[in-house]
Amino acid sequence: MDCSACSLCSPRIESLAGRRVVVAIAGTPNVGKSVIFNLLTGGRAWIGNWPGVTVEKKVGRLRLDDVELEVVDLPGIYGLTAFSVDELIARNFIVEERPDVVVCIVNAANMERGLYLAISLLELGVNMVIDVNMVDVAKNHRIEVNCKKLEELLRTPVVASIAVRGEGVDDLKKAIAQALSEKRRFIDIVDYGPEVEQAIKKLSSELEAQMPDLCQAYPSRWLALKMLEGDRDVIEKVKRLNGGSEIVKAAEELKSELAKSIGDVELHITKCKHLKVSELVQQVVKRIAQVKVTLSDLLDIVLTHRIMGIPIALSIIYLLFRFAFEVSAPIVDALDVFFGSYLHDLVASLSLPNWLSSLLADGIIAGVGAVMVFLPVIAFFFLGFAILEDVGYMARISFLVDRVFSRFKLPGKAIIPLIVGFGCNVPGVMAARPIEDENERKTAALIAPLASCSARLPVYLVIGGALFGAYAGSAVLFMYVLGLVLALLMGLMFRALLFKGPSIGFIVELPPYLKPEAKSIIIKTWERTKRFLIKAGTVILLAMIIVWVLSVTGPSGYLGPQALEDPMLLEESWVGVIGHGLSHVFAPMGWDWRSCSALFFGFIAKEVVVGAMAMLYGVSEEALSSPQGPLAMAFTPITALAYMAFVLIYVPCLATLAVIRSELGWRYALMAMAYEVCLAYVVALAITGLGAFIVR
Amino acid sequence: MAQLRSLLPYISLLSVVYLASGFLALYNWLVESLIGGQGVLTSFAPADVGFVIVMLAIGITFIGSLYYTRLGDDVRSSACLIVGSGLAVAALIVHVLVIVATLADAMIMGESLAMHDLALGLVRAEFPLGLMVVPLLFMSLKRIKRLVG
Repeated sequence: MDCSACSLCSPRIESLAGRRVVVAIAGTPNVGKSVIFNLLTGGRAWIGNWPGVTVEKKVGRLRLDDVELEVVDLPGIYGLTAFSVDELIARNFIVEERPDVVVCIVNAANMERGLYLAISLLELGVNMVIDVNMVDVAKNHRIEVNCKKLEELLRTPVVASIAVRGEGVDDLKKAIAQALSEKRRFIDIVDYGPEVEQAIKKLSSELEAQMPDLCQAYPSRWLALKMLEGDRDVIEKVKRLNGGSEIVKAAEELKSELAKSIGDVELHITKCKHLKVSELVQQVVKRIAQVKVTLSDLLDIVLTHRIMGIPIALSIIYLLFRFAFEVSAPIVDALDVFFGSYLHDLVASLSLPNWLSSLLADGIIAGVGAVMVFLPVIAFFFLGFAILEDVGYMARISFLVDRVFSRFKLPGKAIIPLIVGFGCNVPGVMAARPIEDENERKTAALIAPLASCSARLPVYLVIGGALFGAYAGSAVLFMYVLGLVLALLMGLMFRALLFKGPSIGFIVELPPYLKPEAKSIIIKTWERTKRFLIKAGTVILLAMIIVWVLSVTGPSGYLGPQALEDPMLLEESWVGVIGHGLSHVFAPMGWDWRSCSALFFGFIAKEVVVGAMAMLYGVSEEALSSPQGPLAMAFTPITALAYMAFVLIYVPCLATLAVIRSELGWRYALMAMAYEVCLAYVVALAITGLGAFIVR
Repeated sequence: MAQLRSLLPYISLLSVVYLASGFLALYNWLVESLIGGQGVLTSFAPADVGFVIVMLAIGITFIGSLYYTRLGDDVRSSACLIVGSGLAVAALIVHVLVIVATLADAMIMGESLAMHDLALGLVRAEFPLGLMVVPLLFMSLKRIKRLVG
């Protein structure tokens, strides 16, 4: 802990006051980046978008010597190769936004991995601070890191920390101030051998001469190196500029020349980097004694065991769901009482115009309330998920399912979008980002909406309660299994027809098991739950107003709030028109026009289906799920099961579509919408037909 | 190793009871879901697929511990024991939280405290078996500390 204290005492950075100062946090996944980000910013962050791609980024503020710094949390990456979206985002951010300092977090127990990233960042010419985190874990592994020596070798400030205990944060702040006050660059840290160095020199002089603007943004040495490596992104950037094609051609020629003497140039460059990392590790890492077995090794014997691992993983997921659905029950009921009785009665007691009272009570409160009652379930789910994530168990689940998933040409990492998708499909689609292979990433993102998110659950619970009685649990379970099976089958189909190519195999680092940190878990849970709250306050609120307006108006004009109580009048409303139109399409399934209308509004958000049903059938959510309620009259168990399957599969909600568009583009968003509607129709039709056949 | 051997009868008993509860719950689920019949001891082993998986997973890990002890593999045996007992205690904690939530729910909804529901919660296998595993978890934690320390 003493390695930074001596040289980094109180540098002055007041001169920076008044201008935008950006500090980026980089590091490999599971290195404690988020914990350090929260410690620096006090856990207060806001969400923005990464430049170029509409993918969320986390930004917070840090005050140092009266200077306010903007702290940006970069995605977890292993290098700057631009093979995965995360790496491309990190690289583009560093180049285009030019952060004043990049804090590179390195795992003290796995210095090789972290230093590879640190070297890649140094080569990009960043002003860097290295934080050697988890020194306690390293100590348990009988490893000691000499930060002072590392600082000398890399000519970069280095601090040590135990982020989960908040130790070393002050040193890190001082080091950031130090880096801000005296900027350093050390881009030629790796020696690639005389032949490659000569080629780099030749290519970089050409780049500097012909493309001075590009060399302002990127170090010319780095550009030359990346061109020799065959980096598609850099080659495209150079090609686009005047004279770019000639330089690209020259780089190709140099590469061919080099290949004659050193073989594969890309491999040679990677080898040289790894050699440099090994050299550094030899000088700074001291292994005090060989540890026979670590706690993580010991637990992994069972948790990643090919026979015992799977039932244990299923058990943990089951306990997570039990925790989410059953432990949150009292809060769900309290919210139900609050919205269904207290607020509803309060509005009804006010002397408001009839239409306004109906809009508030029957539209907004009934609709949004029916959705808000599921907030505790979602919050509890994300709380349990964050604990499993912070402990390091989610990486084990990826490892376990890899063998099964590989049969469907999917990587083990594709399980994470599906598990996250059980909570909400929006982060589920985004969770596909760390998948390196582009074809596998696109497939994983497109099948993620088939995971039955918590928004569909209200629909299952309501219909299950009304139609399946004691078998409601089995019907709900069937939906979850159906979603997973369809996701795997669609994955296989996409990989066979659209995203062909070999599977790159399983690449995921199994981080050591760590004690979860309460603050980090609370922040993660809040950030994810907040999305649902915002959705309820914006999209769902708006959707419920639209449903209400379309229910009290029709082709003949304003029908009045009485339409919600008079079924004959409601049939004349726009909702009635839409429902009747759709009921022709769904005639083979035997659904009535009200349930068809609810499906139409479910496109906005799946939760809206329940709210819309409550409004259209003119009853509360509780009455909807009653075995004597209107749903029990409108459906048979078979048509109800088909309806539940349709809700599971058909179009992802607007928010999920928006995130597919930002992750993959419009084409894929439209494709997701089309394939899910078709698949939903086919599955619902198959259930109806098969059910009728069995019953007969 | 000697200490672990002295625990073998207790671990064997627990593994048998966990596996038996799992299979009983599976039978109940099959009977109730597929043929609409009446299950056996459903308050102890409910007709719930998730419950079946948890019980069988715990039973299998305890069997694993016994198997590796027989082979003289102390590390693997301890690993099975800590994971099995950890899972059993996690299931116990979640179940206790569910019982507390059920009571809180009754209070919020203004319903009378259903002592019958509470009693049913306490006889469900996760509770009595989980309590029996708690001392085993502490013992296996001590063992692990020695192995990795």
